[in-house]
Amino acid sequence: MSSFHRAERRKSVAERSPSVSYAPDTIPQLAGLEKPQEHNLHIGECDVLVMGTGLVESVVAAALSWQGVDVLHIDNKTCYGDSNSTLTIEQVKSWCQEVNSGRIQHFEDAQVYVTGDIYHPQSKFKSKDYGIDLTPKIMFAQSDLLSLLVKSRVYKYLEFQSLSNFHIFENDSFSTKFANASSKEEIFTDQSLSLLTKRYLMKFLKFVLEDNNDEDKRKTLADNAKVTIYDFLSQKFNLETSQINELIYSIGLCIKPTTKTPEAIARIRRFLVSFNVYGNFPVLVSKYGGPGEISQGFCRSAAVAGTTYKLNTALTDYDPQLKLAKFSDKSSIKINEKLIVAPTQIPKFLQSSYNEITESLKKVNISRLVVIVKKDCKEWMADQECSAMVVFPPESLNSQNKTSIQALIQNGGTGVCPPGQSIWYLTSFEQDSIKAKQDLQCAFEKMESSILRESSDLDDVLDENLSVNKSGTSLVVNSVKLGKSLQNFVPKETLEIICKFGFTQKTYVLNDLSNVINPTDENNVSLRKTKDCEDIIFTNMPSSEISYDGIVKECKTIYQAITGSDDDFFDVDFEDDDEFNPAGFHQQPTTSSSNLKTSDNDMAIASSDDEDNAHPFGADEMEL
Amino acid sequence: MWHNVKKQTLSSEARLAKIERDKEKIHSYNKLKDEIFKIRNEGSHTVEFLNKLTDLLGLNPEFYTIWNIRRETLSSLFHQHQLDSQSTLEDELKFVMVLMKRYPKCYWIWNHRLWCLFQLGKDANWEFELGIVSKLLSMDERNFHGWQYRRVVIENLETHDDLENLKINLQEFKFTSSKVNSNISNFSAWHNRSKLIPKVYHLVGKLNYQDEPLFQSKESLLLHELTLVNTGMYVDIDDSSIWVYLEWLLSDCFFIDELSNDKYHDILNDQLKIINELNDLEITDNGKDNCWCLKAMIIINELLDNRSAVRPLLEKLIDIDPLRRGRYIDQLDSF
Amino acid sequence: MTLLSKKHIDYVVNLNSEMSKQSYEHWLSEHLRMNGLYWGIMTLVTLKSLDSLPRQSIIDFVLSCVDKRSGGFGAYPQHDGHILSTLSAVQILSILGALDELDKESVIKFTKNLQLPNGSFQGDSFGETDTRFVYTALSILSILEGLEEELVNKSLDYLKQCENFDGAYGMRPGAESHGAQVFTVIASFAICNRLDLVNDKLSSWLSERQVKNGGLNGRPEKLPDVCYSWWILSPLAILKKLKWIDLSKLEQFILDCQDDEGGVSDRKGNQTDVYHTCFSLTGLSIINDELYEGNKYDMDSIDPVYCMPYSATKTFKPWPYKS
Repeated sequence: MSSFHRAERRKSVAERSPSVSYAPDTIPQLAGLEKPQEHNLHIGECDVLVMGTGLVESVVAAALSWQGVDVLHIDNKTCYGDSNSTLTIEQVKSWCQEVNSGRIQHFEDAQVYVTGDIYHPQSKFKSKDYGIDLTPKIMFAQSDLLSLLVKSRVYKYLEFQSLSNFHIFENDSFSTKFANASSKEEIFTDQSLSLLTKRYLMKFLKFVLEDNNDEDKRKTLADNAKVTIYDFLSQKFNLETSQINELIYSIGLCIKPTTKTPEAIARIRRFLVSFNVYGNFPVLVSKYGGPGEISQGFCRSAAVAGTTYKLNTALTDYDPQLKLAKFSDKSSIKINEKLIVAPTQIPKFLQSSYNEITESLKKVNISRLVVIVKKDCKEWMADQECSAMVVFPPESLNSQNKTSIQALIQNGGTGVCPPGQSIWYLTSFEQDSIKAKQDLQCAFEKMESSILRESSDLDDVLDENLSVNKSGTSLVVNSVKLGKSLQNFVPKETLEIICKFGFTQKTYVLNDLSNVINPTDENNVSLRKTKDCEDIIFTNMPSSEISYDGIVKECKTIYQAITGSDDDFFDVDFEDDDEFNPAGFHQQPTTSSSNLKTSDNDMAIASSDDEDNAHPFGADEMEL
Repeated sequence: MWHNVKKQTLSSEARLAKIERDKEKIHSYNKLKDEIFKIRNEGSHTVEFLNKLTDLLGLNPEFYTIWNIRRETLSSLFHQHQLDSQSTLEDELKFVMVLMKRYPKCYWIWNHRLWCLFQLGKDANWEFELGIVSKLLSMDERNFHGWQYRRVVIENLETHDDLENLKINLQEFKFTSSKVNSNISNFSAWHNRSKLIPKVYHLVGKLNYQDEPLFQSKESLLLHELTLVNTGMYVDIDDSSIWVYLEWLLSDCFFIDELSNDKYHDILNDQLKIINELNDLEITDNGKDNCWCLKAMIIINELLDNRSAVRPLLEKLIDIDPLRRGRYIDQLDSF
Repeated sequence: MTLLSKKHIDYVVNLNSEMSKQSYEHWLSEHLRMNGLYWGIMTLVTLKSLDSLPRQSIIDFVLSCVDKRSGGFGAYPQHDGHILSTLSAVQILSILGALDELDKESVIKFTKNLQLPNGSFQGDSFGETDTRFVYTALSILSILEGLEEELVNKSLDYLKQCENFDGAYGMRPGAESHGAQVFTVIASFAICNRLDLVNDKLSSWLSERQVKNGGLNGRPEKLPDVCYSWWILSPLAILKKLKWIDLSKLEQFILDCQDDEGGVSDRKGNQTDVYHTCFSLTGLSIINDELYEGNKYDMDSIDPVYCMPYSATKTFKPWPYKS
């Protein structure tokens, strides 16, 4: 059983998007990306060594490369993505083992359960049909990372799909009152809202969308800097709790009731300005996986610009005087400028420096529960879409959750699992990890009973609804179904679970991203000075943020620390007038997950045949 | 002319690089242009010449003279039977479409499109044009050329059959409803609505058409529109579109002439009450009156001949709408 | 912010420099050259610096643009005659006191021939009709003393049909009201001495065009654009209702749209062009006349009917002509 997971890997970005889609005049050899790197590194020197192929590190590698910097990019793992990886089920299993054996820092308490079905010789689905993100994320249509993807042309390696449905769990039921509808249009035409409510909602939305330089707005925000968003909305805009919860937790994706007004307004604004940028939805998700997929896109771009890649390679020693780095493959290379080190890649000899700079920083826990279920969960998704968000506000669960739980649901249409199945990513921001687990489990159970009820009485509801409302849009259908209380529902069937996987991740990035947005040498790991070695820059572990916010800023901070300025960050003239074409978004699910077929394609990639990590698995597997 | 284009500053390096790149472009552009003028002056109209014009228009669709030359050439080639006019014009429409996608705001392209359609006469497919312009207005909902083009398309879809015309205009009316629903600030849609309502009503009456309950009486039509406007007022009180439309509803002779005096006064008083209530909410929230409410109250009071109520409203406006202070002072003086 | 007169003058003078000829865009804009020349000249006139351009070469250029086939002026040598470039040419020659160099009869004939039976004008023999072209024609004929009773009456009938319920005017009957069309209609009424035709609601509509930041927009719920400082302000000036908006705030908005390197853009921080430069400064000159008796900005006065200096328009024969 254990023999096949050695070289297992998902199809790479490169395989899905052959280089013809992106053809600069000269394409350097994609060392390590499209062809396996030779056994040893055969370069004598480089300007910058980047360790870890997580999202931030990959963007930085690409940015530096396009500016003419000679970059060597390595990872001590056998696949791309580091802490942002998109993993197959088998890879998840070995990852759990490594975490629990202490070989991967900053992760704890990894647990995985996998149904035996998948190993059945006749099973239609294999481990490789799944792409599980360690850091699931959604992308706002108006956001700096999306602009960067366009500017850098990396979007060409990726496929995006829209996500419109944001459900909120409240009073023991799911609802979408206006999260899908946070536009003037919906508020104008919605017959269920009173004129007064319409008025206050619109007033608030208008306030949020007002130019941030507007004097009145600035003053209002300054006056309410210490006021919680809940008080602000109830006192200044007379909104009711259910509307406020939706604005704060669903549209704003805030995590706790004490979120202050300016931060919450910025979060709500981000949602609203993203509407109608590429269509009538606020958010996009990348197909086949999130940050793992995007990291690979940037690695590929970096390779085009000349970065050398090697996986399964670690730094073993570094001499600051001679600037000489030694690697686990026995090669040694001179590093002319800097070393960028991801926290999961820290060699033993740097551990004390890292401990020193992080000593005084606040540690944040992020707890995740990932469940793969045999249901496509279409009931939660908008017409023609394959992803949805579900949010549980604080105090909405029986476990008396103090912070919200955010859940991203993606079905086979997104290429992360086979058709008819879906992956649920639940995240808790609770610092007490035992409590976090309870909250996650509780939220999972609510989702479970909800999806069972909805899929079982779908036809009744449809009939009922059609007789009530002639227009019968999917939105109305959804809200009627999801609006039903769960209390009286006894499931007739149980939910079939393929895989259940949980862990806790640590980071020094604060939940409000304040130490990323305004980094100083006091608050941010990357800017803290290391005493013994000035050449080293540590990066951050991924933040708890469900969106990609903060990523570009982090990259620029590191880029600036190396080049002295971020003015020329991705300042590349690609000389083609190709514009980002919204029509290129695949809003419709592809009919099959043909890209996930298990054909073993050996011509490519990135994986390490040279090292064996065939530890027997099973020791860490247990049900959560 | 630049509209809404952020200023870009090129580094001196980039500027030099651009000059270098432009050299070649300028050379080939001018060469093509000179050639075209030379051929035109010789009066020669050939298919190859047409291709040169295509090339130049692809580079610069604003060059109106080239469009003129193209039409001269096409007409001449049709006349000499060197080209089949129908198939050529259909190709021409495709060519125009390619340019339209790239330059949606170029007036001359729209102009040429219409020329082609008029040349096609009864063979022109105006339904297709309606589809194009709907698409355009979905991307740029207030595009002036777009709305104008739409009206031209409708004029050309209309026939001598009143029932057919009614259906076309009812569909247009519904189009404005959808545009207004999706954005109440779309005054272009409100405007078109104000033109369509009398037209549709007239046709409904003429044909005694029963299938459209909304258009059976002017009163029901007026009340329906007022409900729409009142919702709009609550949704976005500062949206000027709805207030301008409200004034039309309350004062245009199309609605008023058939209402009894009492009924008209009732409607005005009801509306005054609604606006008063809304203004009270504004006072509670913001500590001051809302200008649009006050302005509408002035209009309604004038229509009701309540002249005494107008003066205090103007006095308030002088304070809360300082931009137009001079106007209110003038209006006060005229009492 | 102050008025950057010197920078604007340099900006205009450099528009046709060898340097700008190196850019591809310069060659792509030939079809606007005559209008551009008029906008540049009006910028300089407003800033009392017309002598910064060589008078004779301008006249030579303008005359080289006559389209012998039609009798009108093209935008550039060899371009077809069009009513818009013809007005610009006539305006330029009038400002330079060089109307005698023009074949007036042929221009008058060209213009008159463009009127259609419904009273509207087309831009050229292929063109669309538009209230703009009615104004353009009336302005040309007024400058050249070629107005006629029947033509004037038909034009006025057509313009009246373009009035909307808000008291403002659209580009054709049935079209939405628009600030630039309002200018063309009101200035046409002024040329024809028929300001009595104006709807009472119009001045209020014009005053509603001013938005919070002081700028003017062209239609309800649109962003302000500095060119409406002319299109909206001139009809207010003609109707003697300048006080109906806050001129000081508009003044500030205009000044804010200036670029440090000269020229003015539609809104602060955007790309400048000579069109916006012209109509922001002519608008500013109206404000300058109204607010500052001491001529704060040292500007020439501009006639709101013709968008030309009074020094040129004072000699135009008023309609109706006395026999």
